Amino acid sequence: MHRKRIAALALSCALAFASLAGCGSKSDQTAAADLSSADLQGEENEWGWVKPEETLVIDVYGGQGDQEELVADEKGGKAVLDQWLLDNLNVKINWTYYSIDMDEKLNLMLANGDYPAVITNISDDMANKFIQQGKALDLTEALEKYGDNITRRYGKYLNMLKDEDGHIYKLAHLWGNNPNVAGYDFGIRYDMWKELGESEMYSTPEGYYEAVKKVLENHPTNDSGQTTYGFSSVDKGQNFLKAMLGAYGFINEYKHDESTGEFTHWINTDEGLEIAKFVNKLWRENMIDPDFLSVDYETLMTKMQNGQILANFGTWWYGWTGGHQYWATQDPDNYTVEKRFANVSVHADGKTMDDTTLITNNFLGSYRCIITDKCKDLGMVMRYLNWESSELGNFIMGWGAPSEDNVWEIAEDGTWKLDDAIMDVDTKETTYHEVREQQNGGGKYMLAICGQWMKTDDTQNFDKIDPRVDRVSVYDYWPVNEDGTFADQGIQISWGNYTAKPAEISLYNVTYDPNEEVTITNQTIKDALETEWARIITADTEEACESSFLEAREKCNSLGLADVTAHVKSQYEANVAKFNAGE
Amino acid sequence: MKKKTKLQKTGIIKSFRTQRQLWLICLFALVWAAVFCYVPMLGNIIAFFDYVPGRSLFDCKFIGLKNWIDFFSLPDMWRVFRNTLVISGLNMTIGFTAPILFALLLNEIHHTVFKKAVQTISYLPYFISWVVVASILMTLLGTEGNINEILMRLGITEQPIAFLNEKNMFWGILTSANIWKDLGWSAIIYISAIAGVDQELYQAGAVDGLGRFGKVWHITLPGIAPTIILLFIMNIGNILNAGFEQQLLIGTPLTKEVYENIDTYVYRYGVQIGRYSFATAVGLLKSVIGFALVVIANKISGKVADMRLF
Repeated sequence: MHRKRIAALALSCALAFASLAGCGSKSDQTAAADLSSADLQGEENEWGWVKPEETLVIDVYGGQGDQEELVADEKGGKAVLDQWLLDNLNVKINWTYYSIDMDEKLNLMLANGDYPAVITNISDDMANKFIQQGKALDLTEALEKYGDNITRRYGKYLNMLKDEDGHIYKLAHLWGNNPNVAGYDFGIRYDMWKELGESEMYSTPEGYYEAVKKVLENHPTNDSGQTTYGFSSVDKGQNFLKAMLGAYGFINEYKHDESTGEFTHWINTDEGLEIAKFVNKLWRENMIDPDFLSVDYETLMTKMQNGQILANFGTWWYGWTGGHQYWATQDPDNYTVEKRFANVSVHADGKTMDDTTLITNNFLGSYRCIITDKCKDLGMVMRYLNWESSELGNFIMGWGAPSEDNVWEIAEDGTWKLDDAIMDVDTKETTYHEVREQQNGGGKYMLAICGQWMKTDDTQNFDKIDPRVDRVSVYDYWPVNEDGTFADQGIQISWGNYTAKPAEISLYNVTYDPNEEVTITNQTIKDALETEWARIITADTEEACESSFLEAREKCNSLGLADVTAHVKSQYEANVAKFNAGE
Repeated sequence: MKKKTKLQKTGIIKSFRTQRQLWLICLFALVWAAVFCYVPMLGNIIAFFDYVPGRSLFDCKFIGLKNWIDFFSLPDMWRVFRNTLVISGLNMTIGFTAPILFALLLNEIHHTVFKKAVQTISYLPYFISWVVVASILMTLLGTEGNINEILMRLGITEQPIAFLNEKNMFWGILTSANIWKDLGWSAIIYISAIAGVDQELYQAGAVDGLGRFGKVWHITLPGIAPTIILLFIMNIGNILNAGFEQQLLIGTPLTKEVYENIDTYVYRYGVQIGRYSFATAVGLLKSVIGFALVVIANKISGKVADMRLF
């Protein structure tokens, strides 16, 4: 009897271990793939692509998305793009989205080994997991053979994707330079600011405070009699902090002294205290919505739209969706071009606009694309990714194929001519975004392309784009006058006072391994700071604010902020070394 | 002793044979329970390993009890435990007795249509998601919400109160929201238990001079006592499950000190940053403690009230 029990127990344990061990299996780093099938004979067609005889089928997991929307799109813009790809490139892409969180799904995929040939929109940390477990293919040779557009347009940034041995297992998605668009801003209702009769727009936080205060004095209530406020938040006041850190030139919450190489977290700086006192002053003077810690996006939009919130401090486009974009369409009778939130850039006292980090340029962005060991034809997939990264491929995947039905076509002289109708920004939603949606599903079906604004520089050439616009991305465009100013009066008002330039932060990317102690420390400090920041800025007096700030500093340091700072520094130094490798 | 075991075995086999139709009906439920409730328990083993999804368990480092040591070494551990016990405790006391009281009161209503209407309306909040409940609470309790408006009109306060930012009020608000949401649904089982009480007992009570309150106290409550005890024992197993949805939705940074509990902590430090071993270890700990408490409560109940769950 006793033996039987032992045997049963052993059998159960064996079953348990076998089940769990079978959940995943470690494969060695994939052997060099056979690329010979990608050596196509024949000439490139008008789209810069050598059409293969056999249809290239690529299975892709594109991330968290609405499956119903995808299915609906099978008859819409996606269908148009799919047909074009099939007819002109002989390529078929099978997209999959899941409604659950992408990281959760990818972990499950890793555990059960059920993942497709290509995964895009993946985070850098998650891409590294696939790479570490030998599930992502080594792209180095394929890139050398078929990735000339990619290597050309990435330039030295390609080095940052290399591992210690110089191999590349991942590409960036939605990468590129970010030339001169709005980032964090210090917006204000322009019509109300004009009433003040100021000769110049403010350019410092203090000037902003004065302007908003006067606006609130002039408009203590909205049309419905509700008390007005300057600011609110959908992220528990983090927007105030981020915008202010940008005005002071912090990068990813750290001050970087390039002369000494030292990184200092904002909570350990005098500037951090200044910022805290500034936001606390806004709170104490009732300029911040008292419900800002529990406001959601829809509520904020309502408050902005009904004139209860008269300034916006943080994310620039809230002032658009909660402002003129709503009034122009929902209340056109009372809308004038000046009834909008102006997006204004400011710099801290003692700094210049060039010192700010309100807009940042992160060339590699946050998303990655990997080709997994399920891919049977790495060479051909790389060829396709390379085509996507050609200037023409980039534009087609972002805007849809050129045609009379689309918003752009290729003129006889080779210009990528834009439809005259889309020059009117007021009707952009219907003349541009809707048409684009019908032509390529709104640019959702891209694998690993430049998603930023397209400018000609020493790595890429977009000179063929209609000169009437000089700000074009895969998602948007802005018409300009000959002198470079925005052609649309409203856009000119919105962005006319935004003079900050993008700060280069590509080398400041930090990754955290979930199993490392520093990741937990970082999360603990982030959580603690969320609470502490709310406590600091809602203090009743300036003394209490300072005291809370110093307590928060002590708390963060005792939790191990020095370790996190050291990690940030080491990652930066590693990025710099990688970036400059081969020089 | 051996003989008895053999007899028992024979009895079980016999019962399988004689009740085979019933077992057949239960088959799908049993398979379901085995596949979805018991087989996944094997996964608890990752709590002892530094598990990386996709990697075979044999390739993962064995770390023994490290996840539990980490859990108990967390800087805010005791605050987290306190909040868990307080929130669960409030749910198990006030939240547990409210449906009983509601069922008793409902039973006293003799107007059938009104009674049914109240009963149906009371179920509805159960089907509302916490996202919507949070939104309702914000509308009611915001500085421009209805509650503040009433208080200010009555002259009780001059300045609006940001209720959701007041940590002293958070547990009360959360418990009230929990009760409002679950009251009607939880009362169903008591209402049906009350319906099962022998009506002749009430008639006999009336003859003996019992009033309405007396009937409730001496007949209804003892009649539904087994149900109450059974549910209470089962609820004890959930003492460490204080929930996380409602806390994350209603809580603000200023109330975090009182809403952070084991579930919210594990959600952020386990699931969100991909530490599955850690999340599993804490889940296992909660289950073991919950199971132990259920066994203890069951024994006490057996000795004191002669009623047992198993």
